[in-house]
Amino acid sequence: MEIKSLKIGKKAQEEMFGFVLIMVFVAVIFLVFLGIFLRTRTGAEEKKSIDVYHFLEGMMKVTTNCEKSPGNYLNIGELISECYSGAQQCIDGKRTCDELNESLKAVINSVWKVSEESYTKGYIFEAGYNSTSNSEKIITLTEGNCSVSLVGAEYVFSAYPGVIINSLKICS
Amino acid sequence: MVIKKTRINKKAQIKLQEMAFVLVAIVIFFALVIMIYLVTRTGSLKESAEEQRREEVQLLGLKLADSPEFSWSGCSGCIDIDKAVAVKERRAYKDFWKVYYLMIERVYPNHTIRECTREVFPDCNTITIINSTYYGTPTAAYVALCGYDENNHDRCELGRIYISEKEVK
Repeated sequence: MEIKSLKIGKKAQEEMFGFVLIMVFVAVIFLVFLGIFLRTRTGAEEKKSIDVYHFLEGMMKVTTNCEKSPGNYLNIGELISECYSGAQQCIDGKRTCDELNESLKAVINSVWKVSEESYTKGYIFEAGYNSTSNSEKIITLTEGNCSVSLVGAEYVFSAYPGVIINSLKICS
Repeated sequence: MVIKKTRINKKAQIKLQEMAFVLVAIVIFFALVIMIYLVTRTGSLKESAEEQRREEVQLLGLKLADSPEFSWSGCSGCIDIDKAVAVKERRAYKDFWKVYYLMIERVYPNHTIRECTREVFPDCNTITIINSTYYGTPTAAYVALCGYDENNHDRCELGRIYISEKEVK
């Protein structure tokens, strides 16, 4: 009687072991599949940023109203460098950082129209100086709600001895 | 003796059946996983192929911006807006590039919404250089548009170049 009970117990254990093995096997495959799926998703987000990159590249060349010397109007890229270099002023007495703020807002808002109804729910623009010894934020502009998905790009230009990194993230 | 043998056979059959069921279940599961993976992969492949094509067309637009017909000497990748208006009016350029559609839009600052001609320029916002009857959906890329203002100073603005390629890969 006792031997029979032991035999049944051993058989049940074997069945359970087989079941657990299959479950583990299935779980591993599911995790691998999930990993591949998520990795594909992340890649898709970065691909969209080429538009933003071209936008940043074009925007850096847009001429502003800041005149450094008679007839010499600065573009946005130069204005970012001027703003970083200190309390420089335009010929009309306006601070370069204020002019930069206004120009950036005007250009970005003309393209990425932020509203609850539109596709663009918000944006974050950041410009910062980066070198081997120093890292400093120059300007940050935010508009709307940026809690959902992000599409963005970085545009880098030289500002000896370092670089100025401009990034724009569009929230939709 | 015979009864015992039959019992053992039946037990073995049940065991075999169980195993067959498990094997069939595993095969179905794998088939499902592979199918879902393939569907996702094909979808993303199509998406990335479309994205790649779009990028190629955008690069073609930027390449055109750097061509002697459009380039502005002050910066690389910038379009000389006066040259663009002049090219628009020359019929020889209608078949010069292998594109169905080529249009330049002035995005920032805002201008009056109308087609540019030599007469109305600079108070206009689009320069349509090539406009075939069929051109599909054009791809756009941001570019800087440069020219001289009324005081003869260099001035660059933000624009978009729209292109529809003839040879779709």
